[in-house]
Amino acid sequence: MRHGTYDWPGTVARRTLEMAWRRVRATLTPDDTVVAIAEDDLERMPDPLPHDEDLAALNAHLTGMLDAAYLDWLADDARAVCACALVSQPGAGRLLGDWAVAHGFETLDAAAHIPEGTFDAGPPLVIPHLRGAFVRSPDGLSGIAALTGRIGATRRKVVVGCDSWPWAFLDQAVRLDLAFRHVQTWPAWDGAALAALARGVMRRYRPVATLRQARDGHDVWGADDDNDAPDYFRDLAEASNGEPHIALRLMGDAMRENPEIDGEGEDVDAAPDDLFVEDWEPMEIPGKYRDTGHFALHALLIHGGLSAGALIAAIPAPVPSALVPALHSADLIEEAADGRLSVTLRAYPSVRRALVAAGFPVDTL
Amino acid sequence: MNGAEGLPDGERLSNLFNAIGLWVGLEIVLILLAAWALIQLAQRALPRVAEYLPAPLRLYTLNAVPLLRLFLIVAAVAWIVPLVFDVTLQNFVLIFGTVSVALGFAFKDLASSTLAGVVAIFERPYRAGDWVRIGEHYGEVIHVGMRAVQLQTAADDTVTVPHLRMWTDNVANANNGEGTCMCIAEFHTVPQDDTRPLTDALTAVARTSPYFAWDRPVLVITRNTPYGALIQLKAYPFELRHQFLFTSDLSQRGRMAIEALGLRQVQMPDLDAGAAPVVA
Repeated sequence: MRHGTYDWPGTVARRTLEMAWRRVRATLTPDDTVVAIAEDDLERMPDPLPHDEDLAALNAHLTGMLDAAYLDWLADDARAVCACALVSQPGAGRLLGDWAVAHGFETLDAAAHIPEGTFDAGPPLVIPHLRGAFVRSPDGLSGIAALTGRIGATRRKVVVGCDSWPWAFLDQAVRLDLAFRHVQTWPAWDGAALAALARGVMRRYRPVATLRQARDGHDVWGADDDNDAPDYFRDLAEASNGEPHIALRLMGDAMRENPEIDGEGEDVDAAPDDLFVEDWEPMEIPGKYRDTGHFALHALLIHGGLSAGALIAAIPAPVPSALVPALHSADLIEEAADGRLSVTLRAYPSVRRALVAAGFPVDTL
Repeated sequence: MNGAEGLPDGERLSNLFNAIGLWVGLEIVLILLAAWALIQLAQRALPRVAEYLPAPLRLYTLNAVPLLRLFLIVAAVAWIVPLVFDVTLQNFVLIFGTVSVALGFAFKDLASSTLAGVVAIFERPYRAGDWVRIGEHYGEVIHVGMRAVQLQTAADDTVTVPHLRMWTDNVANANNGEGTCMCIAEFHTVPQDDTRPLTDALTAVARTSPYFAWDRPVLVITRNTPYGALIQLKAYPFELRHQFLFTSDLSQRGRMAIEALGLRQVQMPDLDAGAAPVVA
């Protein structure tokens, strides 16, 4: 879908109001059928979702969407030669690169030296992401500005992938919009789409298990079989900003099992295999480091990952020495094998909300 | 014909007031206490709530305080007056004339400041959360009272300025209710140097600042002066309270960008060391 027309699933205000109303309603209308689930009885899953096969199934679906969006245009010599961009929320990962390799398209690392003649007439070219091609400093933009200029004058079909944060930053810094004729983004996954995705995951994982709300023991799918978008999945769509990889991660993190239920002598109708999902609550940035932490997380999202040294350099001084360990221990950032720090997928929705609330400039879709 | 005409002064005055018994007196005290408590609550709670909100919402929340206070005062007065006075046109003119004369002589400045405060609520030359310059003072409006406005300056001084100043002084409002304000970093280069490459370089400096508001423009203005070229880099931070940090960031990195281009900056000669006051 066209960039700039993303249909954000719900709003934080709506969700907060709905949660408050739900609590009031639960207080005023006690339900005898509610299963009493003690929080202490619930335990994290030994093998948390999503599993590789879940991600593979999701990526296969998304790859089909890429096929539909680009294959005809790339294969048709009569169609316009130009550059297209695909802007994704953090979470899509290597999808565009893997898709290009699977179809045998030439790929280009934007961070590496780009030889002369790269954008002369030739077969389609895919640049999976712009990560590493720039640094947020006056000197750090010259490379991406030159690359953008060359992409704008390309004589071959080019597809460029970019995360939404670097895209928003670069768009104002080097006018990316001038180089790309079409800018697209993924459509938002709403509650119904995520519910269908979750049914597939559950079928693969525990086909006979019922997925229940941890707060009251109710079946997540509800009593009505025709309800294709239960409340839990509408909330999940909103919490994940409509990004399915993030949604799967949030659902996996929220999933619990109850080893106390053995199916005999219980006053509840839950089965031993049943799973419970807790409501999503935003993760907190450690209060002591909130201001500097906002700048650090903003810099990490813009760059798609930075080494500890580069991160310190990207934050306005003074930077507390304990900042990075504090963000790490709060599970807000993670370190890759090459030492690059980045925002964790499960923390991303919370981080985005925190940055919006603090007034930081944010990504657009 | 009014029935009070021709009555002796004492009787006319007694007609002006209603009989105030214990319960009416208690009611008046309760109204005053309730209004005072609500005003205190609004003045304390709303600014605290506003501290947790982003700049635009913070400004709306802070601006609600004086409006709410005015509403509560007007409501309390409108409630109390009929309890105390026999409200007729004649009595109204009598009270209004007496109060006006008394205020005119005794509390002229206070009345003028209070009136200016009411005007300020509706004309809004400054609102809570705005950054304003009144006279030599520049700071954030932290409280708009009935008589005066309080500014918190960058030096952490709290300056109380009577609304009265609004009649005579210009009020410069840096953000005028918006969530950002223009910050300006100035540089001086020697007249012989070509400043044309500076526009792109300084624009990049602003656009790569961590404090920059992405949806705002950047301007680089060059002006010739007798001692060299004055270059102004104008840009907006995303958060009002970052304005001094943003200006510092622009100044520091802008100076480095000028040096990287090989341009020379005008410097004041060290006169104490005997240097000649000549540039370039």
